[in-house]
This record gives sequence, C-alpha cells and structure tokens, in this order.
Amino acid sequence: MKYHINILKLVLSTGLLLLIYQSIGIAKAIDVIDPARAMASQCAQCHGMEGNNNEGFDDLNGEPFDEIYDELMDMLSSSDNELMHHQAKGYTQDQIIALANYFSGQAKTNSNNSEDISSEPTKDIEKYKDEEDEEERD
Amino acid sequence: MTQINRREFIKVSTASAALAVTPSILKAQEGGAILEARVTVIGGGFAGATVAKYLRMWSDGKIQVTMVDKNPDHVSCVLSNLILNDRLQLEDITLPYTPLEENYGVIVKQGTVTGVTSDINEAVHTVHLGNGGESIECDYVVLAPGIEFINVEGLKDGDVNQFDIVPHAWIAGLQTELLRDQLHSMQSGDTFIMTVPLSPYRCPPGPYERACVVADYIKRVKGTGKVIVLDPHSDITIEKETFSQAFNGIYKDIVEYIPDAKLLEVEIKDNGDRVAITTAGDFTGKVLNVIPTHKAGKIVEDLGLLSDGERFAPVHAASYESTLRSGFYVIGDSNNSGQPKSGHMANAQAKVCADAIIRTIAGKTTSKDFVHDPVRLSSIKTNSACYSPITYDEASWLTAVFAYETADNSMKLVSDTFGSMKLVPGSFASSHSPHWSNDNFKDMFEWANSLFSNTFR
Repeated sequence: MKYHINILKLVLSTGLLLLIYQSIGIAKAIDVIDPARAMASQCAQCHGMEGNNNEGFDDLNGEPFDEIYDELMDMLSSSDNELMHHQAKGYTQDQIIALANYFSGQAKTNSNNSEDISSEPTKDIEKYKDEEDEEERD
Repeated sequence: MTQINRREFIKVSTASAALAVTPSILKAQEGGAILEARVTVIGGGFAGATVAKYLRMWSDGKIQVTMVDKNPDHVSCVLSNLILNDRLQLEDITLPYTPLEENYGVIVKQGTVTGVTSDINEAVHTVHLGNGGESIECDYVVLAPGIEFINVEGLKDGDVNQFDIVPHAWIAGLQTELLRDQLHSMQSGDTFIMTVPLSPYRCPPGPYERACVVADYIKRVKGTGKVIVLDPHSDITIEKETFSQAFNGIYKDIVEYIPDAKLLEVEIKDNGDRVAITTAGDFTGKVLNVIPTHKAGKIVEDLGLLSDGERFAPVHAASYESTLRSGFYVIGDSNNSGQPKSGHMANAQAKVCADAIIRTIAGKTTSKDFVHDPVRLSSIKTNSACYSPITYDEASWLTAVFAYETADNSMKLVSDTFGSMKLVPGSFASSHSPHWSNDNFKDMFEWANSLFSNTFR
C-alpha cells in the first residue's frame, strides 16, 4: 500500500507533468519543479539528448518505460564489471522509475528529423571510425 | 526491498493522470517574467559551454546568457593525447561555438576577463573585458576558467616562455602539437621524460595514459627509447592494475616508473638536453613534458573566491555557488568539490549548476526555496566516465557516480559505482589483456563524440 502512495506522488510529480506538456506542449518553465529533468540530463554525456541521439550509446528518449526500467534494474543487481552496471548502482529503485518515466515521456528523436538541433557529427572522427572497422575486417 | 509491480504502476499512472489534469499547476509557473535574468559565463570549456547551453534550453530562452572565452573555439583536452601518436589531428578535437549561438542563442564573446565589479547590494555585476573591450552587466556570474599552473623553478615566466621549450600539453591546443613535434623529432634510443602533477589534477588517468601513448609511439615508430614517468605520489593514483600491467608488460623495455619523484627544478643544458631535478634524483632526456601542479583559473583568485592557501574554490555542492561570495558560481576544474576534474564531470556539474540557477531565479518571484527542495537534493547526481588509450588501438575505461549527501552538504562517491576495466579470472589470453580492448577503443570515440555534442552542439 505504501508504494501505491509513493507511486501516486511520483505520478503527480512527473507523470502528470509529462502528460501536460505532451498534450499542451507548453513552457519548459514548469520543469523547475521536476527534479527528474536534471537527474536525467546526467545520462546525456554518453546517450545524447535533445535530438543528438544519432551519436553515442543507446537512445533513451521515447524508449518504452519497461525497457529502460528492466535494463537499469538488472544492472543495479548485477555483479558484472561493466561500465553501465556501475553507473546503474548510482540510483535507487525510485530514481530508476523516475528516469524511465522521464525518458519514456520524451519525444523520440531521430537523425532524419528536420527539427533536429544537432549539427553534423565530428566528421573526421566518424571517418576514422569507418577506417577502424575496415581494419578489423582485414 | 519492495518489489514494484510495473503493470500496477502503469495502471495507476494512467488512471490518476487522467483524473488530475489541473491547469492550476501550470498557471503558478507560467508567465515569462519568472525566469528573466542575465548570466555571464567566464570560460568556454566543457563546464562553461554546458552551463550556457542548459541555462538557455531549460529556461526556454528566457535567461540571457553571455559566454566569454579568450579563444574563438575550444580545443578539447578529451582525446588530445591521441594527437601525440598521430591518431588524431588538432582539427578533429577543435569545437566551434557557433552551434551554441545558432541553436540556443548563447551570446558568445571572445576576450579576456580583466575583472568583475558589483553594485553595493552585490546584486548586479559587471564583467569587464580587456583591451578596451566591452563590459557585460549581469545578475549571476558563472566561473568556468579551467586551470592555471603553479610554476616550478626553471619554468618561471621570463623573457622566454619556458613552456615553449618544455611543453605541458595539459591545456590542449598548440601545446599539444608542440609536444607531438618534439616527440616525433626524437631519435631511436632517446629519452622522453614526463611529470605527473600533484593531486588533485585534471584528468586522473591522463598522465599514465599519456605515458602509454608515447611508449606505443616510440615502440612502433622509433623502435627503442625510454619514457620516464616521474610521479610525486608514492604509487599510480588511478587504474593501478591497468597501468602497472602496461608499464611492466607490453612497455617494460620502454617505461620506467619512478614514484615519490617531486619535481623541484628544470634545467636546459647547452646541448639542448633537458634535466628534471626531483626528490628522487636527476633525470636527463631529449624531451621533457612537465605537467605542473594545478590551481583554479586566475580570475577565481582575483575575485576572492579562494580561501587562503587553497588551490581550488570552495562551493555549495547543491548549486556550485561559491561559499565565499553569493551570486558567483564555480564549476569544473576550478572548484574543490572533491569530484574528479574532467570534461565529462565538468559537463555533469554544469547541469546541476544550471538547474540551481534557474531554481534560484524562479524562487525569487515565488519566495520559495526550489534549490533546497528535499526531492531535488536527494536526486542530485553527477557522474564520471572515461576511456584511456593504452595501445595504438586499444583502450581501458573508468567510471563513477556521485550523489548529494545532505548530512554534510557534499557530493559523495556512491558505493559500488566506482569501477574500471579489470582482469576477469579465466578470461586472460596471453596475447591480450582484459584490462584494455579494441571494443573499448571504438567506444571511446562514441563516448567522446556524444560528450562533444552534448556540450557544444
């Protein structure tokens, strides 16, 4: 029962806001009271955000709640020595719910979107990566 | 631990959300006026560029943000060691500011900040640019100037800038190319000497990574030669297993690691040889790469944001506001928040700072303390992740998460989040070390590209 109350609180603090700006598409100023935004921004160094998802690791924006939640919870309890498995342990279960909720409520971005605010990836490094792949095939 | 039933959660979520769409929450926060303010950011590295971008983005363009840097664009220290062994060129890691202007409306000014004056209430600040440059009036000042060096004897500023002879290459740019050129002009059998700076310093694995990259270059291109690593610490400070395995394994004929070697003085001989005089003895080589002890960027000290005798600025961990002067924030390598100094971490801190400034501004009109909202405090996180090239095409990784601790108002390492690539029992193959891999080398570029985008585009 207790967790229902917690969830209700969570829904009111994050889910509802997401729903509001999805349906009304309004001012980001209301995010001031949503702590999930700043927390979720910590994923962007590697995963990209704001339309930059054509680079980096897995996309998060617009991914299903279940997928994000399940993966992070698996990593949280995993003893594998992998980078993301260490990262996941920085968050509580409640925070993982908030993150999954936040990302699943964001518009999915893709590189063909004309409103994509990202500029070209660093071309030289991209090119270099292709060469690297070729080397490996040799 | 309670097992959350997600189906239940989604059901509850949908039902209650449908019931509860009350526009009153919106009204309370609506109206452009609440976020009107001007912020000047001093320094356009990973910390400065991120805070400028996120202040604009999260305020929906309501906060006016001016970012000042002495350079027209930023040369990334991240990946810069790969210039030394010709894996990358400077242009690959040069990041223009134009996307910040075009995509987010950040006002970018090139110039050197000579000082900041404040009105009698310390409410309005004026940032002065040198050389007859303009003055920028603002309500908040964010300092992200990176590092300065504490010069050692023999490297003091004089008629000749000794860094032109003994490069640090620790602020990327022409210095990086200079060190590369010196390395490339070495003959087979020559010695490359480098010093590790005293902790805390920018990029904890960086010096050891550099030793590996230089050793790889000497091994592949010059055949024979030496890399002498002079470390003021009594042991390798980070990723010890990885770097000692590299130094004592694949680079055992090249790398000589000297602990407890504090650099005292530098001498240039008539024949051009460089001598590093240290507490562990004198070392002579063709190339000397001194990475001096760091301190906060000069402007931080000039503005009185350093405590006596301290190298880095004390800040409130919930906002990065200086503990010595309100309205001034210090992010990235210049603060003493106890978190690693790196581009990735600078980006992480900048987001917490941007969030805090927006909450401060919003709080002014509503008389609420949004900054110290308990839910916010408990969700303040930063993280660190990086990859270090160890060979020509292999890298290791390192990561950690930090969380805000209310008890002492500080950022603390979260247990079990600190990790690095490690030997997995049973997986060791004689020709290959599980401490580094080619997959990680590729991931390194994914990571860097993503970090560059998230910060500068």
